[in-house]
Formats: sequence, structure tokens, C-alpha cells
Amino acid sequence: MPVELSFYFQKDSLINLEHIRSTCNLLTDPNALYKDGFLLPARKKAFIRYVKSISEQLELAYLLKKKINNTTIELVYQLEWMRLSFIQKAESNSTIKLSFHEKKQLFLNTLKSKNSLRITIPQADFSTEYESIYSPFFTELVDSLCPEERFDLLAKKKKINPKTQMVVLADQFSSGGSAPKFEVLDLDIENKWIIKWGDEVHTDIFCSRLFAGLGYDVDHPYYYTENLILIFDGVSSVKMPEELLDSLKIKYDVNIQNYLGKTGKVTGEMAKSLPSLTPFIGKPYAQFVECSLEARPDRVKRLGSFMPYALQNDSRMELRGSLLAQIFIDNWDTKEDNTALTLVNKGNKHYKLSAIFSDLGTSMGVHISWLNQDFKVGLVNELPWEAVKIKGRKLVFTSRINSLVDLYKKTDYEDLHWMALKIAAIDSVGLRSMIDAAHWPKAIGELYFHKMASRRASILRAFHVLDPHPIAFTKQLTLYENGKCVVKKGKLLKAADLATYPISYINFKGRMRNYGK
Amino acid sequence: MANKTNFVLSFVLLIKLSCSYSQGIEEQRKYCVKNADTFEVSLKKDPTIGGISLLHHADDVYYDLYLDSPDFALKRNGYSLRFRKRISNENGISYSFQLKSEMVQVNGIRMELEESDLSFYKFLQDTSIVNLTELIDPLFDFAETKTLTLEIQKSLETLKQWLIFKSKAPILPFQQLKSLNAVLFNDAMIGSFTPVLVGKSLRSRFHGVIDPEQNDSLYQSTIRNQIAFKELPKKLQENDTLNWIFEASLDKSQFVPLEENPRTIDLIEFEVENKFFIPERGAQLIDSFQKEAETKYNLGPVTKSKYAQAIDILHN
Repeated sequence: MPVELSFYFQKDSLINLEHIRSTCNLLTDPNALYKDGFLLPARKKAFIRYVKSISEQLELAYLLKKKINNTTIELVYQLEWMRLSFIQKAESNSTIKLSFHEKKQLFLNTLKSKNSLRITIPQADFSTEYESIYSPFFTELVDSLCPEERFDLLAKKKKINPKTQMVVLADQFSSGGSAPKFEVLDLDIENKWIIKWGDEVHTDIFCSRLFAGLGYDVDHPYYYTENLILIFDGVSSVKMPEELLDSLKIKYDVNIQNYLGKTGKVTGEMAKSLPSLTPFIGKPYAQFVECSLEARPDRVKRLGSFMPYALQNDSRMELRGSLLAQIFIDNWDTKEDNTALTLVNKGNKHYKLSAIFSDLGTSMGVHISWLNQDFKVGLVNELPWEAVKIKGRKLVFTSRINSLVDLYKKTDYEDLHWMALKIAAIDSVGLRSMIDAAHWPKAIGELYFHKMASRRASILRAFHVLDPHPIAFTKQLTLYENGKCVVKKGKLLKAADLATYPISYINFKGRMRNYGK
Repeated sequence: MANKTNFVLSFVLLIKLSCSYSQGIEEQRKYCVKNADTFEVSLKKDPTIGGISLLHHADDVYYDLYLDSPDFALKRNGYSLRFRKRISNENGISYSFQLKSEMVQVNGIRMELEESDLSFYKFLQDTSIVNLTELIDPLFDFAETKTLTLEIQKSLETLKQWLIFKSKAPILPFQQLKSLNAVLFNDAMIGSFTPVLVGKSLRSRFHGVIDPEQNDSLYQSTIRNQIAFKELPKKLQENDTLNWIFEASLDKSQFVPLEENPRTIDLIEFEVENKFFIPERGAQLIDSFQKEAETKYNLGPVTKSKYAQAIDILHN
């Protein structure tokens, strides 16, 4: 039992009611506004309800003088997990912007990771038979489900319904993060979404599907172009597209002008072809050249991080093994803040806690500029063809990460081997489907397909995993578009850096330098 | 002077509450109705008062079980604490545990907080596990039978034990009382709460709307209530020409103290709750409604809660 849980039990193994109540009051009392000087986050109704339902089960167990057992440990585990995550969120909210010291630390970690991301190959044999894992962090895929289908299955369970043609209403600005984003509501009002622009538009979509395909829970971003209509219905403080652009410029120092498509007022003609626009005739609207739309469904309530350091989570194979998944997608931003503990409403007032790998978009080829404190992601030429190389008795990984959390320091060969088996389950059809969902420009998508197939092969080779679905690739890929060579010998050429795309896939200038625009 | 200080403190407190969680505040006006039957018949014949049309949409039955300390500390400090059972045609039976403040006269604002789901509350009665709702149901029955049966007395005793046991538990009305006055509403005080009064109310519910067919000029001159679609009552979701201003209800209530051969107290009230997105404009519209209702139906404003009125009658 994790040490944090021992306080919930007395020496005689009975429940410590005082401690249970102290935690439950902290998590549910709207009058408790601060903890250790940190402003506590707003408590959502579903969260309060779930805490109280756990509290009541434990109070009854106390009345019945039940001694410690698996059920009470499980309930107390959930309670303490929510408490830790809730406090973490309060602390995280207090530092919206990274300090100079924190930025320096991230860069130092990145440098260090170049040497530290290596692992010794064990001399002794070990069992390669692993038990199936079904935990709040990971769900083993059933044989009947292809990896590429799991993202949609998760979305369906969360009642996420991305329509081919989306109409959304302006709401408010999000807090945190460095990529420009804006919160909107769909016409059911209950479901929030976040529109995101910038270099993570494609990478986040691909990587979320990949992580879902491996067995993890994720956020749900979708790619949209002019098939997303953002309405400014007057309820939000942002009333016009121009105001949105100006405010994003002030908040993120990024001008999204290049992303802006058609703007104007909704007409009767538009409403004829799309009846859901009818109530908004005369209201301002905006469309975008491209963006990602990430679901924030009413059924899923987010707390803080999923606490990789606490509750013996760092002993979990499914979490330690996730390092190889991070390396596979070349994710740079592996901070604790990019994990989330969520409470999912399964219907009929039943809930479950689920750990999410969030914000996976800082990946797929990352360039970091030390001098300008800038970074850019989704640079296909920066993504190495090999994810791992064998050097003597060591496996050396090619990725760099900004936060080598303790969890990953404890990762061993066996954890990574377990993950390599999961990666092996992704076949050519699955990889293609995930790449297609990201909607990269065609040549770039094709180059990514070959690179990811190569990276996958390097992982399976390094961990001596027999490839059940070999994917053909060539490092010498050459592609032409309209008679012009855009990819030559596995490298995207400058000629492909077309003006039609809002940001360059070649230029290193990232969000801190307004993508070079 | 003391009353004035209390009033100012209450007002400041309610403003503070409205800042911390707006769903805990309601802006309400109450009127006593001298003849409920005549009023009901008149409303059916001519449902438009002061330009606002009353759209009848439901008839509910409420059972309320009020708790207080032996010296009525809640009542003396302007609060009422009750278990409520609501029987509605639309939503079936639901239970809640509510804390309300008395109305601040100047603006009709009341604090209302509730535990809206009592389904997971369980307790021990003798050696059996019982749901909290099973415990309070016999007490609600007292409103009908007015007889302290053994079952009712047993439920009463168990409920008192529940209150002692739960005084420190994460239950919203208790958390709120401690936040309002930690010295007065300490664990011992909460543990001393006991059921004192049971009531049954027949409630006719109305949407107060501006209907263009009834008053086009007012309809044209009033901005539309900008409320999220899902927040609109079902009937108004189906008819988007009506502009929703307030909710109203006509309550015919009977209260009885939890004692042998209880005296009954009958109260008839009409209540209006502001639902307009600009509360000041909503209040203006309610003013016009109130002016005509007072003249036409002889309705008189009431500020005291039904609980406070019933206890005052019993104590005098």
C-alpha cells in the first residue's frame, strides 16, 4: 500500500474517519478557497458528487467497523489521488507563466537528456510474457479492436461528437500554454471545445491517436479547415473575429492572421445550406485555413496532473514504459503538467478516474533555439529516421525531452520491451490511418509515414521483437508535386515550403518568434 | 441598532456568497394570497398581469422536514434547514437537503444551497443498513397522518443519531453553516439539530413570459433573455417566440410540528423568481407585474420564509 494511504487507517486497521473527512471537506467545501497559500480550483459538480459518494462508502465502512481490505484501500486510493491532483492543479495555476529559472531548467534537462536517454541491455534473459494491464492509466486492447480504432472508441464513450461540418460559438480564452488557443461551445452548449492554431495542429492529432492506439487515454483533437464556422453570438466578451486576433496577439504574442479564412456575417443563404446557422443570421463569423478542435466534453472533468511521482505510480510498468512511446513520437514537452487526471461520467451517475496523456503535440521533429528561447515542433526534417540505436551493450535514444521525471529515471529495459510489443501491434493500415487524420500536406504526410515506419522498425530491432506486421519504408524517399521535387532522398526541400500553409514546415522560427511571420 | 447591523452583515454576506458561487443565490419575491381558489381561477381566465403572461406548466407536491436546534438557533439567525421530497409529473420523486437564508428585504435575494442527491447516504438503524431517504420518508408521512407512530418515532431517533454522527461530514449545508458562523454553528450545535416541523405543499408552477400575441409593444421593447438553450425550461425550448422573465409558483401549504395532536398551520403564497439575464431589467418587469397583481388580486408582499412564519404562529 502506498505510504500516502497509511494516514487513512488507524493502527488497529480501522478507518481513520477524521482524516477521511478532512480530505473530503477540502475537496468539496466551496468555502475552502485556499490551501497552503494557493487558490484552489473551482470544484465541478460531478467531482463533488463523486468525492461524496466515496466518502459515504468509507463512512459506512467505519460504522460497520470494517478492517482494512481491498475495497477500502481502493476507495482511499482514489480519494488521495484526487486530493493530490487537486492541490497540484492549485499550485500549477499559480504559475501560469514559466519563470526564467524554470525555462533554464527545461533547456538543461533537454541537454542532459541527450546523454541520459540510454539504457543497458540486460545480459540475463527475462520473461517476455506480460500480464494484461487494466488500470486507470492503461487499457489493454482487445484482439477485435485495431489500434487505430481505439481513439474513436474512447471519444464515443466520452460522448464526443465531431461533426463533418462544425458550428461553434465563441466563449473565452484558455489559461496556460504557449500555443494560441480559444475556447468555444458547440450547439449543444454542454460541450466545450478548444480551437488551436500553430505548429501543433497536425502533430497533436497524430500523436493523440497513436497513444490511444497503444492503450493510453488521451485528449481528442480533430482537424478542421473551412468546415468549422466560429460564430460570435454576442454572449462571449469576444464579439468579432478582429477582436479574437488582437486578443490572441496580446495574450500569446502570436498573430494568427495567416490562419484566418472567410469572415463576415451569417447570411440567409448560408443558413439555407447549413440550417444550424439559422438562429445566428446577422451574427459575425470566422472560418480558418486550418486549425485543430480539441474536445472538452461535459462528461469528462479534468483535475490536475495524474501525479506520476505519487502513490507508487512510478512503479507501474504502463507508466515507465510510456517513455518509449514518448520517444517514438519524439515528444519534447514531457512535463508533469501535460498529464491529467480526469473523472469520466459513464452514465447513470457512474464515474471512473482515468489518467490522460495530454498535449502530445510538441513532437514529430523538434527544433530548440537556445538563444531565442524558442522552439518549433512538427519539423519533419528534424525527426530522426531511427528512434533508437544500439551502441555496444546500450540502447541510445535519439529524442530529447525537457523533463526527465523520476518515473522515467526508474524505467528499465523490461518496461521498454513491454512497450515495444505494443508498438509492434501498429501495422501499415493503422499508421496510415493516423497520419491521414492529421491532414499534413500530402508530401509531408508521406514522409512522416516512412519515418515513423523506420522509427518503429528501429525500436523492434533494438528490443529483439519479431515484427508481426512489417511496414515497408525507404529512407531515400523522393516525391514530386506538380512536376516539382518536394522531398528528395528522405528530406523535405525548401521548395515545398508553400505559401498556402499558414506556417512553414522548414523554418525553425517557432511560437516565440511568431513563426517567422 | 443591532437589527440594522445584522441586516447589513447579512447583506454583505449574501453579496460575498453571490461572488463565490452564483448558483447559491436566488432573487425572489413572495406574496400572501388571501383566496387561492379565486386567484387560480382568475389566472386561468386572464393569465396576463402587468404585461407578463403566466404559462402554467406543472403541478408538483413537496414534503418538507425542517430541522433546528432545541432553542431554534437557525430560525433566530435567519436560516432554515430542511429535507425536501419533491414529487413531480416531469421528473418523478427526488430528495434534497437544503439550507436557505431569510430574504434580504432590500433586493429579495435569498441564499439557497443544497445536497441535491441523497441516494448514496446510508446509516445504521439497529443493525440494519438503511438509506437516508428511507429514514425521512416516514417523517414526511406525518404531514398526512399527524400521528406519531412507533415507526415515525424510531425514524426520528435514528435521524437524530445521523445528525450527531454527520456534524463534521462533508455535507454542504453543514459546511456552509460553519462558514457563516463557525462559533455558533459548531459541531455540537449541528449535532443538536432535530426535526421540528413537517409540511406538505401543493405547488402550481408557471413560466412568466412576454408573449408577443398578448403584449407586442412590451415584447418589442424588451431585449431577449440571453440564456443558454439548455438552461431554458423545456416548454420554452419548444416555443422560441416567448421571452422568459421569471418563474412563478402558487403554493398551498400545510405545516405541522412533530408532536402529538399537532396544531396545523395553513399558508398560501405566490412566489416569483427573477430569471432574466440582466437582473435589474428583470426586477423592473417584476415591479410592473407586482403593481398590477397587488391591485387586481389583493396580493400582499411577504418576506418571511414559510418556516419562519409557521414557527412564529406556533410560538404565539
